Amino acid sequence: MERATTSSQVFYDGDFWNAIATTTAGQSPDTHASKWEVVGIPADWRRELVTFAQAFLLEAQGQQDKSQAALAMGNAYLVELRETEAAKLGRRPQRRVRVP
Amino acid sequence: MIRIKAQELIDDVARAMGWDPADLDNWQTADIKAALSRALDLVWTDRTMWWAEVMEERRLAFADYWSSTTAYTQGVVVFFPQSNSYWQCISSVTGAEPATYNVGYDGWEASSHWYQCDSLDSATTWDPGTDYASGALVTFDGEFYVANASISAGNAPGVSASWVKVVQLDPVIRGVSGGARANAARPSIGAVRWITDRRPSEDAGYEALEWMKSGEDYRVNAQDNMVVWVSYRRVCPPLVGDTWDATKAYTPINTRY
Repeated sequence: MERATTSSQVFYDGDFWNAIATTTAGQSPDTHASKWEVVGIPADWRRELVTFAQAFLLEAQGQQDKSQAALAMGNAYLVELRETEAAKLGRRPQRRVRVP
Repeated sequence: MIRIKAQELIDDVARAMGWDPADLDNWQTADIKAALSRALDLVWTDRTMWWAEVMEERRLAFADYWSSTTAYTQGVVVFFPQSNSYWQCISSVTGAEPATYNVGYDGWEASSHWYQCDSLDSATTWDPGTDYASGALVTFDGEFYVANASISAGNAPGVSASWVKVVQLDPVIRGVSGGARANAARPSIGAVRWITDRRPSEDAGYEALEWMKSGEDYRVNAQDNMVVWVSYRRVCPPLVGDTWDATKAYTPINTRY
C-alpha cells in the first residue's frame, strides 16, 4: 500500500491536505478544492495525541523517564476515550452478530 | 467527524515540550509532525476499538460499475446495477449497455459485446464437428469460451479468435492495487470489521458473511449477494506534508484516506 509523501501531501492553512488529483504549480487547496482532501483528525483525540506525541519526542531526546511517564498518561487517557466511545455506541441500537 | 486543526495539535505539543509555538525551527516542526503522525496511528489502529470517527460503511460490488463513457476491452468484468448482475466484455466497446430489458421475454437480453458472468452452467463441451452461433458457450481444456461471431466446425477455442475466454465471477472486494486508483470513489480499506448482506446501521435483519483477506483484497463468501456492505476502518493517514509550495506540482497516490 502506498503511503502519502511530501509529493502527495502538503501542510496548508494549518491542516494537512492530500492531493487526490494531479496538480500543477500554483494549485492550492483554496484555489483548486476538488484536487485536495483535508486530513481529518478527530477533535476528541486531542489530549491523547498530544500526550503520546510528547512521549515520543521525549523518547527521541533520550529522556526515558519523562517519556515513560507521558506514555502512561497517554494510555490512561486512551482508556477513558475507549470508555467514552463505548458509552456512545451503547446508546445506539445494537444487534449481536456472528463475526467470522 | 468533528475535526481539529493540525496546527492546534502542533502548538499543543510544542507547549508540552516547553517550546514556543510561534518560534519553532524547521527541525522542531518536523519532529512534532513525525511524533503526531506516530501518535495518530497508535490511536487510529487501536486493536481494541472500532472508532466511529474513522469507520466507513459502503455498499460495494465485486467489479467496477458499468459506465457509458468507458472504453471496454475483452475480459473486463463490470457490475450492471440495472440487472443486478456481472458482465464480461467479449468484444471492445464503448457506450453499449451490457444488457437491455426485454419486456416480452421478461428478462435481460445480453448485448453482443457482453456475456453474463454468472450464467456459465449452461456450457457444453466443445465439439469439433459442430458449427457454433454467436453467443454459444463451451468448455475447452477446463476453461469457458463464448463465441462472439459464428464459428464453423473444427475451429477450436484458442485457435479461432472468435472464441473469447470468459470467467466465473470472482467475489473479491478490491483493496488498493498497484497502478490505477482502485478506490477513487471511496476511502481505502484499512481493516475490515465485517461484511454483511444488508446495511448494518439501517437494517437490523442483516447477516454477516464470511470473508478472508487475500493480500490487499477481501474474498467474500457472497452466497447469492451480488453486492455486499463492507464496514471498515479507513487507512490512517501519515502526517508528512511540508508547507505547500506554489512552484511545485503534486501527485496523488493509490491510497485514499
